[in-house]
Amino acid sequence: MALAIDASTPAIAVQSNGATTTCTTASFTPPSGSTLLILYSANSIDPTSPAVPTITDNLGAHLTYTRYDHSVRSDTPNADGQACSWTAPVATGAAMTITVTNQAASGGRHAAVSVQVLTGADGTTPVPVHGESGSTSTGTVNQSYTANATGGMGFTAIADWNATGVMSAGTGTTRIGSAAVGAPDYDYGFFRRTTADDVATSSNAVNATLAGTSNSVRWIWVEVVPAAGGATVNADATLTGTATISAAAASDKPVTSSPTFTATISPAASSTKPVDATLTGTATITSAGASTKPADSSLTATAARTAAASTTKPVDASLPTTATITAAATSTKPVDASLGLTATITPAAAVVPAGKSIDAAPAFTATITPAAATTKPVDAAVSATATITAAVSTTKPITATLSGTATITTDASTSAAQSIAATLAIGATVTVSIGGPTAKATSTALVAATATSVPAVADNRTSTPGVT
Amino acid sequence: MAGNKVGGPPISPWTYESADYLGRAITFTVVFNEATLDITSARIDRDPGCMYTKIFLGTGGDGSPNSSTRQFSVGQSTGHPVSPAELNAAGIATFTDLLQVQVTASP
Repeated sequence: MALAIDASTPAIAVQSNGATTTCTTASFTPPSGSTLLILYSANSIDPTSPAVPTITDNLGAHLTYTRYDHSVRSDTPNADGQACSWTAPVATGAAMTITVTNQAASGGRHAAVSVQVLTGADGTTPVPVHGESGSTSTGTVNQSYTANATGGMGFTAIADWNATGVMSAGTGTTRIGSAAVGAPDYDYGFFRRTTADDVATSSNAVNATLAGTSNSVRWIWVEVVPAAGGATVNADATLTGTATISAAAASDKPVTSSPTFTATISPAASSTKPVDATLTGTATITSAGASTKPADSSLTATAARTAAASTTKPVDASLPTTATITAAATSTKPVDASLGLTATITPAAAVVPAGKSIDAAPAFTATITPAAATTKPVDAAVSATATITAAVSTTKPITATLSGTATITTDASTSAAQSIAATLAIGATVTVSIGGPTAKATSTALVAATATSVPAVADNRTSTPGVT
Repeated sequence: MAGNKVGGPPISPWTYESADYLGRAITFTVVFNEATLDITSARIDRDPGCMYTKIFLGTGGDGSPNSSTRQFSVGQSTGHPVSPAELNAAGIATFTDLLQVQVTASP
């Protein structure tokens, strides 16, 4: 269990009457198992060193108090004032007050008592290191100490006999309270480390700044350490989680998306502070699903073919061919699927010279499957379009090169139906039927890239015997 | 050291301060005439959420501040004036009266 100051800690009690020996805290109820740290700051009458103050409580069975240091003038240097500290274990919590009795002569009994109720302190040796000091010329009390244990916390009690004014906290230090006592007759100051940030064997300090340079200051200091096994977790701290998120989405589709993610990390453990529990965290990562540019890239497919065929008949028709390939698959969310594309290829009307005619309308179909497939989520719509334009023109007889590889053979000796078959490298098959029982032309086209089409093939034969 | 601080010249204002376990403080400030020592004003200031809401002046018959009849509550307010009349009714009319008692605070 980590060391902590309990909410039951009573306020500082200040005795403003220099003739009254006692200074009593308001009633408070410490929890069972807690440890009381009593800090004391008081006046004295120069040049006398008062005897050790006594301490008690109003319980029927008094607590057992262990005193550490009593800083007085007889300790070097010859600075007046006094400071003292005790601890007392609380076996069973009960409403109580604590009274400290000043042993200084009447008129110099101004005092202040600060009780700190600590939980998680070592029950056997709550204060393994402590000390006292004084100064006849200082404007600060920066009391360093070598920490005995990690998670410990330093405290000081200061008596500024010169009453230079209210003290302030220095680096890493919190002021429990500081004020003038009496007319003023002296100033008290109680300070602690802001957090239990001691690191075993490392130096730490409780830092206080006086209102001015005092020529008579006394103080004590203690380090309270946590029980063995105590953790240093400060449950007041903000738990900050950092998540590194890698979008595993890999797509070989033309998708330009920027998925964004938010991560919420919640500690599984809830606790009151301070805690020594292990905080385990879980992370929930949610894709916002926002795509900044959902797949608006184009799939560009090209098809090429070479009409290697030659006709023996004069053909002067041109074959303007236009193919439009549209990616049928669109997705507004990440896709793991292949994009299936279909192509509708519509041959343009054959251009037939005047006085010529062809005996059948060329037609073919093509199924095109792009090789690309997304394997991982892409929160984007995916669409692709491809436009293939083949501007084929032939003169007669034709040995047209369309680019790519295509072979067209025709049987010019028949006017029967003809057909052209094309095989796409990616797997598509194109069949062009000109009509009649015997094929008049065969075309083989190589399809490149991820999508292609086979352009319509028009019969350019214009003077083939038998073809009208 | 020369001299002692007992009976130094009164300096106004007089203050009491104590922080709770989280460092939130309650402060009791008394302003008085340094010549006549008459109290002219007083107020209690309290950091938001401070555990302490009452100022106890003196102790009761059992020696506990809680049984003192001279208590001033600020409640959850962060600032609360205490009039000289209120202090006077509690037997605290001058700074000298204030110095006769101990001061502390409580939830």
